Formats: sequence, C-alpha cells, structure tokens
Amino acid sequence: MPIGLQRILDTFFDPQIMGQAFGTLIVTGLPNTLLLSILASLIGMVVGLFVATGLMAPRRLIRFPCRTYVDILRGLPHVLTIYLIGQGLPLAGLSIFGRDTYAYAALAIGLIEGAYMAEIFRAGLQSVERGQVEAARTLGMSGAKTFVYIVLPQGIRRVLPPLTGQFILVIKGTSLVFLLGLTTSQREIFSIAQDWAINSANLSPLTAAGILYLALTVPMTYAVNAWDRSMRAAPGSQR
Amino acid sequence: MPIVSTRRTTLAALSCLALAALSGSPAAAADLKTVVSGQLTVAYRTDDKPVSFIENGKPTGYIVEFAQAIGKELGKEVEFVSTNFESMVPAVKNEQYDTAAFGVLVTPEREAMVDFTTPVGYGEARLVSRKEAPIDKVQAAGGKTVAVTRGSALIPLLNKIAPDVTVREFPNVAASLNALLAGQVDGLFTGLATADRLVQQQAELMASQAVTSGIAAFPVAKTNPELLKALDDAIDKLMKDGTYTRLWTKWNPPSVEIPEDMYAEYPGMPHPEQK
Repeated sequence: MPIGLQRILDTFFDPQIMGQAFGTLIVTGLPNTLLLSILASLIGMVVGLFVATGLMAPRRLIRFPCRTYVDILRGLPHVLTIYLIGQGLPLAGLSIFGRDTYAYAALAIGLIEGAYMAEIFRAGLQSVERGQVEAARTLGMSGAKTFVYIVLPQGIRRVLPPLTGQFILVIKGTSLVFLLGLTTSQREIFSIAQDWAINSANLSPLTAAGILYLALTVPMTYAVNAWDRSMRAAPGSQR
Repeated sequence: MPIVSTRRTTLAALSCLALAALSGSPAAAADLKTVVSGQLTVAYRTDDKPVSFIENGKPTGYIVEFAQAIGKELGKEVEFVSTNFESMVPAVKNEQYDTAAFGVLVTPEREAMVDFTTPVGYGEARLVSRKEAPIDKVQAAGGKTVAVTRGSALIPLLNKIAPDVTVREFPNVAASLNALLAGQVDGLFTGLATADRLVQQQAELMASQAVTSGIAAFPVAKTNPELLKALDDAIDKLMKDGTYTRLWTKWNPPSVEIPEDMYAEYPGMPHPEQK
C-alpha cells in the first residue's frame, strides 16, 4: 500500500479506535446531541416565525427591531454569541437556568437559528399569492385567521427544503455547546470525539463522529423530502 | 498584571538568543533531516500563557523561546505554526511538524504514537476557587464541580486525587474563569503559572497547594530518531548552560519554582539567582 494512503488510514480510519469510540458516542453523545438539537430547533422555529411576521409588518416600529435582530445574530460569529448568552447571562447575575449548561446552550443556539429561520419563513410566507389572502378576506376570515389557516401552512410547506438544510446546521451547530463547559456525561457527539482524539493522539474518533452525524442528517433529509412529496401530491394542494 | 513589559521581553529574548548563538555548535547538525529542509517546523498553541501563546502577532512563551534556542543549537531556522491540541500529536506523527512547543504531557497513549525527548518540565497544577467558597486542598474537590481545559492531562490527575469530583471541560481558561466567577463551577484546575496569574488578577480568587501532574516533553515522529537524538543533546546543553533557568525566571512569577525533579534530571543545571 502506498505510504500516503496508509497514513490516511492510520490517522482517520483506525478501526480499533473507531470501534472503541462508537460505544460512548452512541450511549452518551447521541442522546445529548439529539436533545440539544430538538430544544434548539424548537426555540429557533418559534423565534423564527415570530420574527418573520415582524419582518413583514407594515409598521417600521415592529420591522426595525426584527431586522436588527436578524442582522446581528446572523452576522456575529456563533462562538461569540454563545459566549455572550451562555456565559454573559450568569456573569451578569442572571443565572436563570442555574448551572444547566444545556438550557443556556439551547437558548443561545435557538436564538441564533431563529435569525436564520426568520428569513427562511419570511421567504415562504411572502411567496403565498396575494390573491389567496384577498379571497380569504372576501370570505369573511379575519386577518389573523387568514394568516393561520391560509398563509402559514402553505408558506411553511414551500420552505421545507431550506428548513431541512437549517436543521442540519442546527445538529452540527450543537457541537458548540462545548464552549460553555461540559461534564463527562454531558458531552455530545463532537466533544466526545475531540476528547478521544486528544487522548488517543489519533483523529479516527472524529471520523466516527462524522459517521454518526451522517446517520442523523441523511435519513432526516430523505424523510422530509418524502413528506414534502406526499403533501404536494395530496388533492387540492399546489403543484 | 503583565509578567514582564514588552520592551523588556524583547530585550531579554534577544539576549537569550544571542547567548544561545554564541554557545551553539550549528555545524554539527546541519545535515539533520527535518520536515522542511533547513528549518525546524514547530507547532505551538496561541492560548496557553505563559507556556505557548501569541503576543503582538508573534509566537512566544517559555516553551516557544526554548524551542527557538534549540533551533539555534541545531543551526536551523524555527518556523512556528499554530495548531490545536487534538491534531498536534497526529500531525507530528505524520511528519507535518518536527515537534510541538506545547508543554505536552507524556502519556502511554501518546507514547504509542510518537517518541518524546527528555523532560522539559514537570507539569504542576493548582486548584483555584472563590474566597467566599474556598477549596483549600485539591483533595477537597470531591463532590464539587471543577473546570478544566478540555483534553488536558490534568483531568485524569484530578480524578485520581479527588475521585468524586465532577470535571467540567471548557475550551480555554477564559471560559473556565468566567464560569468560576459566575458561580457556574466551584473550582478551576490549571497549571501553576496560569493559576498564580489568575489569583493575582482576581482579588476574589485563591489557590490550593501545587500538585505534580507529569512529565512534559517535546514529541518527535518515531521515523526520525536522529532528530530525537539531536533535540535531546540540545536540551541537555541548554539545561546545563542556564538557558532554561533564565527562560523559566523570565516567564514565571517568582512564586513558581523549577521543580526539584528537573535538577535531578539534569545535574549541574543552575538555580535562578536569588533576588
């Protein structure tokens, strides 16, 4: 075997080291990564929807703060935002979540993702034809009802693919929780892999973590795409 | 409080280098095989003051300056490349760097990957805590949550001394310090020099006794025993001619003394002058 290939195999694909790492990665890392991904995604979606409606508001007083929020949280490096929220709150004496690292991390990552999701939702909501809103209003639906029953379902459905992309970024973004400090049992997939890489002086644990990330993100993408297709095929839906 | 002013730092660095140059024998190792021919390519880290860090855009710190002195001994230009802890040993193994100016602790796992030179330090550590909730001995950390920099060889040490301790790993000492000040952790376990600096800077902090963590040495690829030998020879010389002692006194506060084990390892190594 050429020496270069052998080195790649030794450094990134040592089967023994990967095998050992998988155990902890799955038992400890996977549940933590999933927990944080779900929490952060939920916060991100709520914040995102809320801010998206604000971005479309006719009044500048509402639009301006939402715009600023999106600009700042999308523009700042994520590491800095996570420190500012996750360490800034307790330093300011606002230990709202006690010592719960995951709560601070979920809030920080959720707020960041909310800014990205706001723009995705806005694009979707604005893509719903004006005529449909007018039709709903003519039928006697209130503005709020029109938004909830007409605009929202269609708008969200149209942005499912970019939203899936954003969820993938959330899953990978959860690795930044390490910035806030983790106990052994709190470590998520990437932290475990990094610790393992340092201690084994070999990068194969990171490859093992990469495989787990793929095992999460690839099926999710296919599932969402299938769901998307089935909704498009449903009677009465847009084609 | 900075340890030394910048100008003085530069002057001292220059004089160290000048002395090293005068005493060196560059011709001896001129044909030594290195990663980039004619130079010594050395990994360093940017965030471990005063051991290996970046200041005014230049790599510096006592292990970095020691590596520079070794380069002079070998008659090679030293090029420093910043890298992180987890990729450093694999990179040395794969001959991307000749060695690492990191203060790497020697562990069996790391020894399986690379060779190590003779010791360039014995890691020592202290437990820092808030005066209002003091932990006065490392042994008393049991049942408490203690911040340690991730991947550090101090983690197994702390687990051994205080088995019930909860270790919380942080990416760097700044994040650990914030967590300690904000009451998110009870203590912070770190190297002697860093611990003393933190206690000096933050009036509300105190430190425990010092405990010895292990041998720090330069890693070298197993494929290059000639380089290992050359580094060992250079280290031995720099220990005995006082270069190491000088760098130590320059970079460490007076309270941090050269471990006795170092004098035992290198007989004839001069003690710092009493001030």
